[in-house]
Amino acid sequence: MGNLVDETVGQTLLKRIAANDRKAFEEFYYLYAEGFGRFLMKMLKHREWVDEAVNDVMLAIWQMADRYDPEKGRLSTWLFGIAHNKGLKLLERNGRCREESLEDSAVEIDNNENMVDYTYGSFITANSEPERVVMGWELGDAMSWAFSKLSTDHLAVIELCFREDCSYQEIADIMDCPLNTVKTRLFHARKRLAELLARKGFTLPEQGKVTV
Amino acid sequence: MTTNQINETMVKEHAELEGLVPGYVMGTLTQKENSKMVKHIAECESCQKEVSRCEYLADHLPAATETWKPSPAHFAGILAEVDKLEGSTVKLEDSRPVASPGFFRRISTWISQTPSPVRWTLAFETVAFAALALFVVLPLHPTSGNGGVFETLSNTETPATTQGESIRLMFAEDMTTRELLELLKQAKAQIRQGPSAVGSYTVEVPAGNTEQALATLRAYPKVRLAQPIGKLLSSP
Repeated sequence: MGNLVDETVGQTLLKRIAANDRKAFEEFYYLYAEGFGRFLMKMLKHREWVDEAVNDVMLAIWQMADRYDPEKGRLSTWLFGIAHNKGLKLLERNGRCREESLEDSAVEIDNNENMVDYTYGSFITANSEPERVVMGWELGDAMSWAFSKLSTDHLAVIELCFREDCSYQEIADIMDCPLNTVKTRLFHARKRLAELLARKGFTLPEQGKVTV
Repeated sequence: MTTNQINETMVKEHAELEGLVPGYVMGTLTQKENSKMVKHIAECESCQKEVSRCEYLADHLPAATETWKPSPAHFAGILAEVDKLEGSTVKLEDSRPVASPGFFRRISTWISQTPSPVRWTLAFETVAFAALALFVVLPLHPTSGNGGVFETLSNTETPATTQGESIRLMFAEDMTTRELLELLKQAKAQIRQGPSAVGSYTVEVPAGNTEQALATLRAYPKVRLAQPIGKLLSSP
Protein backbone atom coordinates (compact mmCIF):
# COMPACT_ATOMS: atom_id res chain seq x y z
CA MET A 1 0.00 0.00 0.00
CA GLY A 2 2.46 2.61 1.17
CA ASN A 3 5.31 1.26 -0.94
CA LEU A 4 3.62 1.61 -4.27
CA VAL A 5 1.61 4.81 -4.01
CA ASP A 6 3.06 8.30 -3.91
CA GLU A 7 2.05 9.85 -0.59
CA THR A 8 1.34 13.25 -2.12
CA VAL A 9 -1.09 11.73 -4.64
CA GLY A 10 -2.94 10.04 -1.80
CA GLN A 11 -2.96 13.20 0.29
CA THR A 12 -4.37 15.26 -2.59
CA LEU A 13 -7.11 12.70 -3.17
CA LEU A 14 -7.86 12.63 0.54
CA LYS A 15 -8.39 16.40 0.58
CA ARG A 16 -10.84 16.09 -2.28
CA ILE A 17 -12.62 13.22 -0.50
CA ALA A 18 -12.95 15.46 2.55
CA ALA A 19 -14.90 17.81 0.25
CA ASN A 20 -17.25 14.92 -0.68
CA ASP A 21 -15.66 14.40 -4.12
CA ARG A 22 -16.84 10.95 -5.18
CA LYS A 23 -14.60 10.85 -8.23
CA ALA A 24 -11.58 11.29 -5.94
CA PHE A 25 -13.02 8.57 -3.70
CA GLU A 26 -13.16 6.20 -6.66
CA GLU A 27 -9.58 7.03 -7.66
CA PHE A 28 -8.47 6.51 -4.07
CA TYR A 29 -10.22 3.13 -4.00
CA TYR A 30 -8.45 1.83 -7.09
CA LEU A 31 -5.14 3.18 -5.80
CA TYR A 32 -5.24 1.78 -2.27
CA ALA A 33 -7.87 -0.96 -1.98
CA GLU A 34 -5.56 -3.68 -3.30
CA GLY A 35 -3.07 -2.85 -0.56
CA PHE A 36 -5.83 -2.98 2.05
CA GLY A 37 -6.98 -6.27 0.57
CA ARG A 38 -3.48 -7.80 0.67
CA PHE A 39 -2.96 -6.78 4.29
CA LEU A 40 -6.44 -7.84 5.38
CA MET A 41 -6.32 -11.13 3.49
CA LYS A 42 -3.30 -12.10 5.60
CA MET A 43 -5.12 -11.03 8.72
CA LEU A 44 -8.61 -12.40 8.03
CA LYS A 45 -7.92 -15.27 5.63
CA HIS A 46 -11.45 -15.21 4.17
CA ARG A 47 -12.28 -13.37 0.95
CA GLU A 48 -15.81 -12.46 2.14
CA TRP A 49 -14.43 -10.98 5.34
CA VAL A 50 -11.87 -9.01 3.34
CA ASP A 51 -14.66 -7.65 1.12
CA GLU A 52 -16.45 -6.47 4.23
CA ALA A 53 -13.34 -5.10 5.93
CA VAL A 54 -12.20 -3.14 2.85
CA ASN A 55 -15.74 -1.80 2.65
CA ASP A 56 -15.49 -0.66 6.29
CA VAL A 57 -12.05 0.88 5.69
CA MET A 58 -13.28 2.87 2.68
CA LEU A 59 -16.34 4.11 4.56
CA ALA A 60 -14.13 5.20 7.45
CA ILE A 61 -11.93 7.08 4.98
CA TRP A 62 -14.99 8.78 3.47
CA GLN A 63 -16.10 9.89 6.91
CA MET A 64 -12.72 10.81 8.40
CA ALA A 65 -10.77 12.13 5.41
CA ASP A 66 -10.55 15.58 6.96
CA ARG A 67 -8.93 14.18 10.11
CA TYR A 68 -5.67 13.08 8.52
CA ASP A 69 -2.78 15.32 9.51
CA PRO A 70 0.39 14.84 7.38
CA GLU A 71 2.48 16.29 10.21
CA LYS A 72 1.52 13.39 12.47
CA GLY A 73 2.78 10.67 10.16
CA ARG A 74 2.75 9.02 6.75
CA LEU A 75 -0.58 8.53 5.04
CA SER A 76 0.16 4.81 4.68
CA THR A 77 0.55 4.56 8.48
CA TRP A 78 -2.81 6.24 9.00
CA LEU A 79 -4.44 3.95 6.43
CA PHE A 80 -2.85 0.77 7.84
CA GLY A 81 -4.07 1.87 11.27
CA ILE A 82 -7.63 2.05 9.99
CA ALA A 83 -7.29 -1.27 8.13
CA HIS A 84 -5.81 -3.04 11.17
CA ASN A 85 -8.53 -1.66 13.40
CA LYS A 86 -11.33 -2.67 11.01
CA GLY A 87 -9.78 -6.10 10.58
CA LEU A 88 -9.75 -6.68 14.32
CA LYS A 89 -13.33 -5.47 14.67
CA LEU A 90 -14.43 -7.82 11.93
CA LEU A 91 -12.70 -10.73 13.64
CA GLU A 92 -14.56 -9.85 16.83
CA ARG A 93 -17.86 -9.47 14.96
CA ASN A 94 -17.42 -12.89 13.45
CA GLY A 95 -16.78 -14.40 16.82
CA ARG A 96 -13.15 -15.13 16.19
CA CYS A 97 -11.28 -13.81 19.19
CA ARG A 98 -7.77 -12.59 18.77
CA GLU A 99 -5.47 -15.46 19.29
CA GLU A 100 -3.31 -15.14 22.32
CA SER A 101 0.22 -14.14 21.48
CA LEU A 102 3.24 -15.93 22.77
CA GLU A 103 3.73 -13.26 25.43
CA ASP A 104 0.53 -14.47 27.05
CA SER A 105 0.43 -18.13 26.25
CA ALA A 106 3.06 -20.50 25.03
CA VAL A 107 1.05 -23.66 24.92
CA GLU A 108 -0.68 -25.08 21.87
CA ILE A 109 -1.96 -28.39 20.72
CA ASP A 110 -0.01 -29.46 17.67
CA ASN A 111 -1.30 -31.35 14.67
CA ASN A 112 -0.48 -34.66 16.30
CA GLU A 113 -2.63 -33.65 19.27
CA ASN A 114 0.40 -33.64 21.54
CA MET A 115 0.87 -30.84 23.99
CA VAL A 116 4.01 -28.99 23.00
CA ASP A 117 5.49 -26.32 25.23
CA TYR A 118 6.76 -23.45 23.13
CA THR A 119 8.65 -21.63 25.81
CA TYR A 120 12.14 -20.57 24.93
CA GLY A 121 13.65 -23.63 26.61
CA SER A 122 11.62 -26.16 24.68
CA PHE A 123 12.31 -24.27 21.46
CA ILE A 124 15.95 -25.09 22.02
CA THR A 125 14.91 -28.73 22.26
CA ALA A 126 13.04 -28.49 18.96
CA ASN A 127 15.96 -26.72 17.40
CA SER A 128 18.26 -29.45 18.57
CA GLU A 129 16.86 -31.78 15.91
CA PRO A 130 19.22 -32.38 12.99
CA GLU A 131 19.30 -29.07 11.13
CA ARG A 132 17.88 -29.23 7.65
CA VAL A 133 18.03 -26.23 5.43
CA VAL A 134 15.89 -26.88 2.41
CA MET A 135 15.51 -24.27 -0.27
CA GLY A 136 12.79 -24.13 -2.89
CA TRP A 137 9.13 -24.93 -2.77
CA GLU A 138 9.37 -27.25 0.25
CA LEU A 139 10.59 -24.50 2.53
CA GLY A 140 8.12 -22.16 0.87
CA ASP A 141 5.29 -24.52 1.78
CA ALA A 142 6.55 -24.77 5.33
CA MET A 143 6.77 -20.97 5.52
CA SER A 144 3.19 -20.63 4.29
CA TRP A 145 2.01 -23.16 6.84
CA ALA A 146 3.97 -21.48 9.63
CA PHE A 147 2.55 -18.06 8.71
CA SER A 148 -0.96 -19.50 8.76
CA LYS A 149 -0.32 -20.60 12.34
CA LEU A 150 0.83 -17.20 13.59
CA SER A 151 -1.45 -15.17 15.81
CA THR A 152 -3.09 -12.06 14.36
CA ASP A 153 -0.76 -9.77 16.26
CA HIS A 154 2.38 -11.67 15.28
CA LEU A 155 1.34 -11.84 11.66
CA ALA A 156 0.57 -8.12 11.64
CA VAL A 157 3.99 -7.08 13.00
CA ILE A 158 5.81 -9.37 10.56
CA GLU A 159 3.79 -8.11 7.59
CA LEU A 160 4.12 -4.45 8.56
CA CYS A 161 7.84 -4.73 9.23
CA PHE A 162 9.01 -7.00 6.43
CA ARG A 163 6.49 -6.40 3.67
CA GLU A 164 5.33 -2.84 4.22
CA ASP A 165 8.65 -1.38 5.41
CA CYS A 166 7.05 0.28 8.42
CA SER A 167 9.28 1.56 11.19
CA TYR A 168 8.73 0.36 14.75
CA GLN A 169 7.08 3.65 15.65
CA GLU A 170 4.75 3.38 12.68
CA ILE A 171 3.84 -0.18 13.64
CA ALA A 172 3.15 1.07 17.17
CA ASP A 173 0.87 3.76 15.74
CA ILE A 174 -0.92 1.31 13.47
CA MET A 175 -1.43 -1.30 16.15
CA ASP A 176 -2.10 1.31 18.80
CA CYS A 177 0.42 -0.10 21.24
CA PRO A 178 3.67 1.06 22.91
CA LEU A 179 6.94 0.98 20.95
CA ASN A 180 8.44 -1.66 23.24
CA THR A 181 5.46 -3.92 22.62
CA VAL A 182 6.27 -3.82 18.91
CA LYS A 183 9.85 -4.92 19.60
CA THR A 184 8.64 -7.69 21.90
CA ARG A 185 6.00 -8.87 19.45
CA LEU A 186 8.49 -8.93 16.60
CA PHE A 187 10.94 -10.88 18.71
CA HIS A 188 8.34 -13.44 19.75
CA ALA A 189 6.84 -13.61 16.27
CA ARG A 190 10.23 -14.51 14.78
CA LYS A 191 10.82 -17.06 17.49
CA ARG A 192 7.39 -18.58 16.98
CA LEU A 193 8.03 -18.77 13.26
CA ALA A 194 11.32 -20.56 13.88
CA GLU A 195 9.59 -22.99 16.22
CA LEU A 196 6.89 -23.78 13.70
CA LEU A 197 9.45 -24.33 10.94
CA ALA A 198 11.45 -26.52 13.25
CA ARG A 199 8.39 -28.72 13.76
CA LYS A 200 8.45 -29.40 10.05
CA GLY A 201 12.20 -29.93 10.14
CA PHE A 202 13.26 -26.61 8.61
CA THR A 203 15.39 -23.72 9.79
CA LEU A 204 15.93 -20.33 8.26
CA PRO A 205 19.39 -19.93 6.72
CA GLU A 206 21.87 -18.31 9.07
CA GLN A 207 24.66 -17.62 6.63
CA GLY A 208 23.58 -15.03 4.17
CA LYS A 209 24.72 -11.78 2.79
CA VAL A 210 25.58 -10.29 6.13
CA THR A 211 27.69 -7.30 5.63
CA VAL A 212 28.81 -5.29 8.55
CA MET B 1 37.97 -2.60 31.56
CA THR B 2 38.22 -6.28 32.51
CA THR B 3 37.08 -9.13 30.27
CA ASN B 4 34.10 -9.72 32.54
CA GLN B 5 33.09 -6.07 32.33
CA ILE B 6 33.39 -6.15 28.55
CA ASN B 7 31.22 -9.28 28.39
CA GLU B 8 28.65 -7.68 30.69
CA THR B 9 28.48 -4.59 28.48
CA MET B 10 28.12 -6.78 25.39
CA VAL B 11 25.23 -8.75 26.95
CA LYS B 12 23.47 -5.54 27.96
CA GLU B 13 23.93 -4.05 24.52
CA HIS B 14 22.75 -7.26 22.89
CA ALA B 15 19.57 -7.30 24.98
CA GLU B 16 18.96 -3.70 24.00
CA LEU B 17 19.67 -4.07 20.30
CA GLU B 18 18.46 -7.58 19.51
CA GLY B 19 14.93 -6.31 18.99
CA LEU B 20 16.11 -3.82 16.41
CA VAL B 21 17.48 -6.37 13.97
CA PRO B 22 14.36 -6.46 11.73
CA GLY B 23 14.37 -2.67 11.55
CA TYR B 24 18.08 -2.73 10.70
CA VAL B 25 17.49 -5.22 7.90
CA MET B 26 14.57 -3.21 6.51
CA GLY B 27 16.40 0.12 6.88
CA THR B 28 13.70 1.67 9.04
CA LEU B 29 15.89 2.51 12.07
CA THR B 30 16.87 6.04 13.01
CA GLN B 31 20.41 7.08 12.12
CA LYS B 32 21.49 6.81 15.75
CA GLU B 33 20.00 3.32 16.17
CA ASN B 34 21.52 2.23 12.89
CA SER B 35 25.03 3.35 13.91
CA LYS B 36 24.72 1.42 17.16
CA MET B 37 23.52 -1.66 15.30
CA VAL B 38 26.38 -1.56 12.81
CA LYS B 39 28.89 -1.50 15.65
CA HIS B 40 27.11 -4.22 17.60
CA ILE B 41 26.59 -6.59 14.70
CA ALA B 42 30.28 -6.43 13.85
CA GLU B 43 31.01 -8.02 17.24
CA CYS B 44 27.89 -10.09 17.95
CA GLU B 45 27.69 -13.46 16.23
CA SER B 46 24.13 -14.06 17.43
CA CYS B 47 22.90 -10.83 15.85
CA GLN B 48 24.77 -11.59 12.62
CA LYS B 49 22.79 -14.84 12.37
CA GLU B 50 19.57 -12.98 13.20
CA VAL B 51 20.29 -10.43 10.48
CA SER B 52 20.75 -13.30 8.08
CA ARG B 53 17.48 -14.92 9.10
CA CYS B 54 15.59 -11.63 8.86
CA GLU B 55 17.00 -10.94 5.40
CA TYR B 56 15.83 -14.35 4.29
CA LEU B 57 12.43 -13.76 5.84
CA ALA B 58 12.07 -10.39 4.11
CA ASP B 59 12.95 -11.97 0.77
CA HIS B 60 10.75 -15.02 1.17
CA LEU B 61 7.59 -13.79 2.81
CA PRO B 62 4.90 -16.13 1.55
CA ALA B 63 2.32 -14.57 -0.71
CA ALA B 64 -1.29 -14.83 0.35
CA THR B 65 -2.88 -18.07 -0.79
CA GLU B 66 -5.82 -16.01 -2.02
CA THR B 67 -5.52 -12.57 -3.52
CA TRP B 68 -8.07 -9.80 -3.27
CA LYS B 69 -8.61 -7.33 -6.07
CA PRO B 70 -10.75 -4.20 -6.14
CA SER B 71 -13.70 -4.35 -8.50
CA PRO B 72 -16.38 -1.98 -9.84
CA ALA B 73 -19.06 -4.12 -8.19
CA HIS B 74 -17.35 -3.86 -4.81
CA PHE B 75 -16.92 -0.11 -5.20
CA ALA B 76 -20.59 0.21 -6.19
CA GLY B 77 -21.44 -1.50 -2.90
CA ILE B 78 -19.28 1.00 -1.02
CA LEU B 79 -20.97 3.90 -2.81
CA ALA B 80 -24.36 2.49 -1.84
CA GLU B 81 -23.19 2.50 1.79
CA VAL B 82 -22.00 6.10 1.35
CA ASP B 83 -25.45 7.01 -0.02
CA LYS B 84 -27.03 5.43 3.04
CA LEU B 85 -24.70 7.38 5.30
CA GLU B 86 -25.43 10.63 3.49
CA GLY B 87 -29.15 9.85 3.57
CA SER B 88 -29.12 9.27 7.30
CA THR B 89 -27.22 12.55 7.76
CA VAL B 90 -29.88 14.42 5.78
CA LYS B 91 -32.62 12.65 7.75
CA LEU B 92 -30.93 13.65 10.99
CA GLU B 93 -30.86 17.26 9.84
CA ASP B 94 -34.53 17.08 8.86
CA SER B 95 -35.54 15.61 12.18
CA ARG B 96 -34.13 18.55 14.08
CA PRO B 97 -36.81 20.97 15.35
CA VAL B 98 -37.41 23.53 12.62
CA ALA B 99 -36.79 27.03 13.83
CA SER B 100 -39.11 29.84 12.59
CA PRO B 101 -36.49 31.53 10.41
CA GLY B 102 -35.93 28.22 8.56
CA PHE B 103 -39.64 27.84 7.87
CA PHE B 104 -40.02 31.43 6.68
CA ARG B 105 -36.87 31.10 4.61
CA ARG B 106 -38.36 28.09 2.85
CA ILE B 107 -41.65 29.94 2.25
CA SER B 108 -39.71 32.94 1.01
CA THR B 109 -37.69 30.75 -1.36
CA TRP B 110 -40.85 29.10 -2.65
CA ILE B 111 -42.52 32.47 -3.23
CA SER B 112 -39.48 33.89 -4.99
CA GLN B 113 -39.50 30.88 -7.34
CA THR B 114 -43.19 31.43 -8.26
CA PRO B 115 -43.91 33.46 -11.44
CA SER B 116 -45.01 37.01 -10.68
CA PRO B 117 -48.65 36.83 -12.03
CA VAL B 118 -49.27 33.61 -10.15
CA ARG B 119 -47.76 35.13 -7.02
CA TRP B 120 -50.11 38.18 -7.14
CA THR B 121 -53.15 36.05 -7.95
CA LEU B 122 -52.39 33.82 -4.99
CA ALA B 123 -51.93 36.86 -2.77
CA PHE B 124 -55.30 38.37 -3.88
CA GLU B 125 -57.08 35.05 -3.37
CA THR B 126 -55.55 34.69 0.07
CA VAL B 127 -56.73 38.18 1.10
CA ALA B 128 -60.23 37.58 -0.32
CA PHE B 129 -60.50 34.27 1.48
CA ALA B 130 -59.36 35.85 4.75
CA ALA B 131 -61.98 38.65 4.39
CA LEU B 132 -64.73 36.13 3.64
CA ALA B 133 -63.74 34.05 6.63
CA LEU B 134 -63.86 37.14 8.87
CA PHE B 135 -67.28 38.12 7.48
CA VAL B 136 -68.67 34.66 8.17
CA VAL B 137 -67.11 34.11 11.53
CA LEU B 138 -67.41 37.55 13.15
CA PRO B 139 -70.92 38.98 13.95
CA LEU B 140 -71.84 42.29 12.28
CA HIS B 141 -73.60 43.54 15.44
CA PRO B 142 -71.73 42.21 18.36
CA THR B 143 -74.01 41.55 21.33
CA SER B 144 -73.35 43.31 24.56
CA GLY B 145 -71.87 41.07 27.10
CA ASN B 146 -74.81 41.26 29.54
CA GLY B 147 -76.22 37.88 28.69
CA GLY B 148 -79.54 38.81 26.95
CA VAL B 149 -82.36 36.27 27.28
CA PHE B 150 -83.63 34.74 24.07
CA GLU B 151 -87.11 33.25 24.22
CA THR B 152 -89.28 31.76 21.55
CA LEU B 153 -92.80 33.13 20.95
CA SER B 154 -93.92 30.26 18.84
CA ASN B 155 -94.69 27.97 21.76
CA THR B 156 -98.20 28.89 23.02
CA GLU B 157 -97.98 26.39 25.87
CA THR B 158 -95.03 28.10 27.53
CA PRO B 159 -95.41 31.82 26.93
CA ALA B 160 -92.42 34.03 27.51
CA THR B 161 -92.21 36.34 30.49
CA THR B 162 -93.67 39.76 29.70
CA GLN B 163 -92.93 43.21 31.04
CA GLY B 164 -96.32 44.88 30.20
CA GLU B 165 -100.06 44.03 30.56
CA SER B 166 -101.66 41.32 28.47
CA ILE B 167 -104.99 41.50 26.73
CA ARG B 168 -106.85 38.64 25.11
CA LEU B 169 -108.41 39.47 21.75
CA MET B 170 -110.84 37.86 19.38
CA PHE B 171 -111.55 39.28 15.94
CA ALA B 172 -114.31 39.06 13.40
CA GLU B 173 -113.85 36.42 10.77
CA ASP B 174 -113.37 38.98 7.98
CA MET B 175 -110.51 40.77 9.82
CA THR B 176 -107.62 41.11 7.38
CA THR B 177 -103.96 40.97 8.28
CA ARG B 178 -103.44 44.56 7.18
CA GLU B 179 -106.30 45.70 9.45
CA LEU B 180 -104.86 43.66 12.32
CA LEU B 181 -101.43 45.20 11.94
CA GLU B 182 -102.88 48.70 11.77
CA LEU B 183 -104.97 48.13 14.88
CA LEU B 184 -102.04 46.72 16.88
CA LYS B 185 -99.98 49.71 15.84
CA GLN B 186 -102.65 52.12 17.08
CA ALA B 187 -103.01 50.27 20.39
CA LYS B 188 -99.22 49.92 20.74
CA ALA B 189 -99.76 46.22 21.23
CA GLN B 190 -97.73 43.22 20.24
CA ILE B 191 -98.98 39.68 19.71
CA ARG B 192 -97.56 37.33 22.36
CA GLN B 193 -99.70 34.24 21.80
CA GLY B 194 -102.19 32.95 19.35
CA PRO B 195 -104.21 32.22 17.56
CA SER B 196 -105.41 29.62 20.09
CA ALA B 197 -107.67 26.69 19.28
CA VAL B 198 -110.70 28.95 19.55
CA GLY B 199 -109.07 31.76 17.50
CA SER B 200 -108.07 34.12 20.34
CA TYR B 201 -104.86 36.13 20.54
CA THR B 202 -102.94 37.41 23.53
CA VAL B 203 -101.31 40.78 23.01
CA GLU B 204 -99.09 42.79 25.26
CA VAL B 205 -99.38 46.51 25.82
CA PRO B 206 -96.93 48.68 27.74
CA ALA B 207 -97.58 48.84 31.48
CA GLY B 208 -99.69 51.91 32.34
CA ASN B 209 -101.16 52.05 28.87
CA THR B 210 -103.72 49.32 29.32
CA GLU B 211 -106.83 51.53 29.55
CA GLN B 212 -106.00 53.50 26.44
CA ALA B 213 -105.09 50.35 24.56
CA LEU B 214 -108.32 48.64 25.63
CA ALA B 215 -110.34 51.68 24.52
CA THR B 216 -108.67 51.67 21.11
CA LEU B 217 -109.16 47.95 20.64
CA ARG B 218 -112.75 47.89 21.79
CA ALA B 219 -113.58 50.82 19.54
CA TYR B 220 -112.55 48.87 16.50
CA PRO B 221 -115.63 47.33 14.84
CA LYS B 222 -114.10 43.97 13.97
CA VAL B 223 -112.87 43.29 17.53
CA ARG B 224 -115.28 40.87 19.22
CA LEU B 225 -113.41 40.56 22.50
CA ALA B 226 -110.77 42.69 24.32
CA GLN B 227 -110.24 41.41 27.84
CA PRO B 228 -107.26 42.37 30.12
CA ILE B 229 -105.64 39.29 31.70
CA GLY B 230 -102.81 40.90 33.66
CA LYS B 231 -99.14 39.82 33.35
CA LEU B 232 -98.18 36.62 31.56
CA LEU B 233 -95.72 34.47 33.47
CA SER B 234 -93.83 31.71 31.84
CA SER B 235 -94.49 28.37 33.38
CA PRO B 236 -91.42 26.46 34.62
